[in-house]
Amino acid sequence: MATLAAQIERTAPCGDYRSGLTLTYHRLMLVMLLFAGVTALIVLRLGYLQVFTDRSGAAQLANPLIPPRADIVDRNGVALARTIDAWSVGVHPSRIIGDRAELAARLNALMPERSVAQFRAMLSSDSNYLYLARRALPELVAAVNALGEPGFVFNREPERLYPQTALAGHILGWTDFDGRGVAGMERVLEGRLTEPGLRGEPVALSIDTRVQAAMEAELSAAVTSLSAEGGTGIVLDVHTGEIVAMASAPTFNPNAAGRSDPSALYNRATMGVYELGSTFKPITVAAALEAGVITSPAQRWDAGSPVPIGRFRISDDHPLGRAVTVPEILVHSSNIATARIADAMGSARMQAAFRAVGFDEPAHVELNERARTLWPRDWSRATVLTSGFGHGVAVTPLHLASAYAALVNGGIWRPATLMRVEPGRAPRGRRVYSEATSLRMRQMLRMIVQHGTGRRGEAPGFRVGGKTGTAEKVATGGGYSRRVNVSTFAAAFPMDQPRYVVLVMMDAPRGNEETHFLTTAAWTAAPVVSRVISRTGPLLGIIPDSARDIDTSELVPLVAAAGH
Amino acid sequence: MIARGFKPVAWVAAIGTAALGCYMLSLQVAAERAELAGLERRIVAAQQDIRSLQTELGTRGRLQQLEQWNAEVLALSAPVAGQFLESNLSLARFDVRQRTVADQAEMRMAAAEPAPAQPVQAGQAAIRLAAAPAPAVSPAASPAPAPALVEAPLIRRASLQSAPAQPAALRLPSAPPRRSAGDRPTAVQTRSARLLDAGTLDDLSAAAQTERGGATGD
Repeated sequence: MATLAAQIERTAPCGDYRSGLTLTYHRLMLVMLLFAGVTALIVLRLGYLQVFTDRSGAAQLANPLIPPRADIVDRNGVALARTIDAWSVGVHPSRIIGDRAELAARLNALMPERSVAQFRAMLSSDSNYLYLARRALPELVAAVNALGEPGFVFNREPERLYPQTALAGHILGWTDFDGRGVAGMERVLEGRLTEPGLRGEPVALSIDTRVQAAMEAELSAAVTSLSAEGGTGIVLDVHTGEIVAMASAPTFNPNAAGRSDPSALYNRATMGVYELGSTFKPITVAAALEAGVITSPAQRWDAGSPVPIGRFRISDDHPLGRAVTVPEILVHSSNIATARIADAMGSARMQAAFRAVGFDEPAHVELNERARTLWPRDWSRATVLTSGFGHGVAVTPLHLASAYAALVNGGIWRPATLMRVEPGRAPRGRRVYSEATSLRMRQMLRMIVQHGTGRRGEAPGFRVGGKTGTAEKVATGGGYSRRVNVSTFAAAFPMDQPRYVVLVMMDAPRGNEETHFLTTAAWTAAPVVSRVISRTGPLLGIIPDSARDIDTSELVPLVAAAGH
Repeated sequence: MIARGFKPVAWVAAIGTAALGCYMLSLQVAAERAELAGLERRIVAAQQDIRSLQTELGTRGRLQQLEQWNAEVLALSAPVAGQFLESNLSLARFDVRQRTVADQAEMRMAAAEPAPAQPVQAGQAAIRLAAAPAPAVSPAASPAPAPALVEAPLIRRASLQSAPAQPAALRLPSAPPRRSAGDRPTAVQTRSARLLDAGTLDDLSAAAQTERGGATGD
């Protein structure tokens, strides 16, 4: 500034001293204003920052509460899948300064699932980062940390946790290491669970954890005691199609899906297709009632002699040797009479009857794990006759549960769903049977439990109605095996006002002393249904009442007291 | 003169004070905000803790675990049809205890108990009383009318716990004269209102003791 002023003086040595001074003042003033302006700008900026910057950090703080993947809960809000912060132990092999061989031995002592050699290979590998353990327990993290090796790193990573462990594992599915759903509802709901706007809101399934637990417990107890290959159990709401419980034995733990037996991952309820045997008879009878083939329950159908078709003959396990009424066909489970009804129906109407309840399509449910049914390619007379009592058409147990729901709920078929349905939002479905047919079927199903093969399925006070079905399993070499059965009991309760279908299927049960080594549905599947209903009925809001029942008085006289 | 000389100084001091005040204020605000943020952070941490603890609790108390405990230790089973009672009537029928004199004394009062809730029943009770043999009703304190009265009220009594019933039973000797339908509901109402009061628990136990004494006296 001084030089500037000096220069001015030098350039105007002979001018008016006063004007020169004024000019200098003006210039000085300009510079000062410049400085003041810059200072004011900084002050203003600071003030602005002071006033308008939101330092509470609420936006950043709210985020930790929103999980990276939404929770899955049951219909009552019980957590089925959650994301937690789990510890992971990793290693940067290049940063290790200790003795690798010794470290490998110590790591093996802490984590025996990998050998010393494997650990040594990991510690001396070229990669930048390797996981030693994911979802590690805090004790393990502390122990590894105590080794004092700077190459080990400990992180908190979001991990999917299934608090109920193996419960509903087949429904929930699991996620891979990157947190993407690879099976079950985790896979189906992938988009919904990871959508940023909806992650905070849990997704409610139609499952009721308590019912699911009861079903799984009873089913696995039966599968173990009967040495069965497997089994499945379904509880379905007949008015909405909601699956309240769906179990498949053996079960697996989705927390460690990769370590479980691959055969346990198989969901028998939706992936297994079986010829479900006599449980088809009510469907045949209902279709015949609908079609007018059966004009009255008192109409008699000949069950006296086996029906020959080609090389085979259709016969009964307990031959009745006479013409029987319609309730008798179901109560005594007569193959011959059912085959005659199917014959009278004819191929087209039988096909239509099965198509009406969706037996020609994969099961209607959200899961991707579902199988195509085995639908006969050509419907010869033999196919028609055998399909009447559940051979030749193989469907999943879920198909059958949906069909039974339609049988008892007044005749409306609805797709099954695993998502909770808000009251009044049930799908409209399609009418398959008339109200009158449905009522008739309810009476006859109840009579099967009161007087027929389903007696062991009775749960006192719950007005259970249902049909047993013992099908012979297709042997590995082809043909049917008499000793290896698929035993199913499909039931609904309470029959005077049906609310739930309960279906239990046992795959190849062997029997025990308690069942007199019988493998029929009456001895294997029906008791499970009875126990499940006794346990879960009150939970589902159905109070047992011995004083109430469906009126079957008009049909009871049609059933002759049998020796069986 | 001196004042004028110090005027700029005073100005500077005043402005300085004001600026300092403003700055202090803003500092205060900043401190409050920081505290608030800290609190919010703690809330979030607490909520995360709650979530993780809930998860842990849910995992430890998972249904399969409970099932196992039930199988090993508790051995609880599902209730059966006979254990669900639909109405007070079936509940009363469910009561299979031996009737004692004390119970009978209680029963008399119980006929009055449902009266405030359902005036119609009070009417019915009155009708039943009227139907009882006329000579039996008049000697109020004597034990003779008790069996006649027992039949109808017995049904209602069982739904009520005996503890609240007792003081009412005590009052009964004075009650019979006021049996005419008019003022009884209000009397009962005040009584039951008092019974609901938590503060009368001591009263109740004292009453129960005297009542027990009275019963043995009978």
